[in-house]
Amino acid sequence: MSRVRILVTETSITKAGQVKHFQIKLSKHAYKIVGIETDVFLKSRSGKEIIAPLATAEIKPTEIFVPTRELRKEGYYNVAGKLSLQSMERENIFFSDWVRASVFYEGFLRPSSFQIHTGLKDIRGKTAPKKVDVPVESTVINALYRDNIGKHLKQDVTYTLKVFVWMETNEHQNGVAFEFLNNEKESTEK
Amino acid sequence: MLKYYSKQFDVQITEAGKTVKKTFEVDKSVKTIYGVCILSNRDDLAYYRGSFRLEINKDEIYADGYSTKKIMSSENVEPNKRCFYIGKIIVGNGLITFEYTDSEDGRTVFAPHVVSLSVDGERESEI
Repeated sequence: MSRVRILVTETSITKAGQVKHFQIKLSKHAYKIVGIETDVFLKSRSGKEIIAPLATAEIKPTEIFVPTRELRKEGYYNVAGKLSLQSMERENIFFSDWVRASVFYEGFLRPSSFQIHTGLKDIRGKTAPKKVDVPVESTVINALYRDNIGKHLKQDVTYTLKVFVWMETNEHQNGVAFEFLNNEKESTEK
Repeated sequence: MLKYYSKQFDVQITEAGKTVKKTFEVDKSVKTIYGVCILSNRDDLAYYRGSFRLEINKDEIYADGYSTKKIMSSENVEPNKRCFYIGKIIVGNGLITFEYTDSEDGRTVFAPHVVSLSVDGERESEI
């Protein structure tokens, strides 16, 4: 009988531009990795607020009477870094993705603010685990993480990086059928 | 006849950086649980600072340290899609163990709040 389990691995990042190698130890019952998720827990204030980059839209003559909106003063740079994973059984890396520090924009706390600017807009859609299909024999996978947010802010930002590994294991239990494993559409939306 | 069941279990978070563990018992008529989600009266605190562990019928569904934000949803998500579906889990002894950990985050200031675990499932009904 097989079931899906989640494994949580944490590592701490303290320096700007830090490159960190670490290992993720899997359960001895694990035989396949089916999904990867990441998360960031900030420990220090970033100190600076970054104005979100604005696309310079071309103004067409018909839009000339539309009142210009104020530039948004709030907003953060939300890419924390890049994570790559390598399995012992596969050549090259099997997962590489930007790690995003999910943020609420400051406007969230103001009731008048428009919901679309908040991090809570559609959390379920954003946080579906990224589907992978990697058989594992050994119980270790290698991880490499490069910090970006510290480099961007030009200061040391301390945070905990969490990696959630969804794996299939051989266990004598009924187990759980997580939605993302059966929902192709959702996993490809990410 | 099986009918829809939904219940919310509340945990009071009164101290920063602490883990609160609570075991809830669902009604005997409840047969399966298929969806979970987390709500709070301070969404921002639960979202940024929270992590949890969830066990149903002594079977670990979410491992310790899983981020709360991963199973929260906002009002912009359709009401009938706000739960995180975990397949039909047989409730068995009816015990749900919820362990919530608050941890310091650079963006928020702690204030006492309530974190609720909402579960959806099926219950046996004669009507």
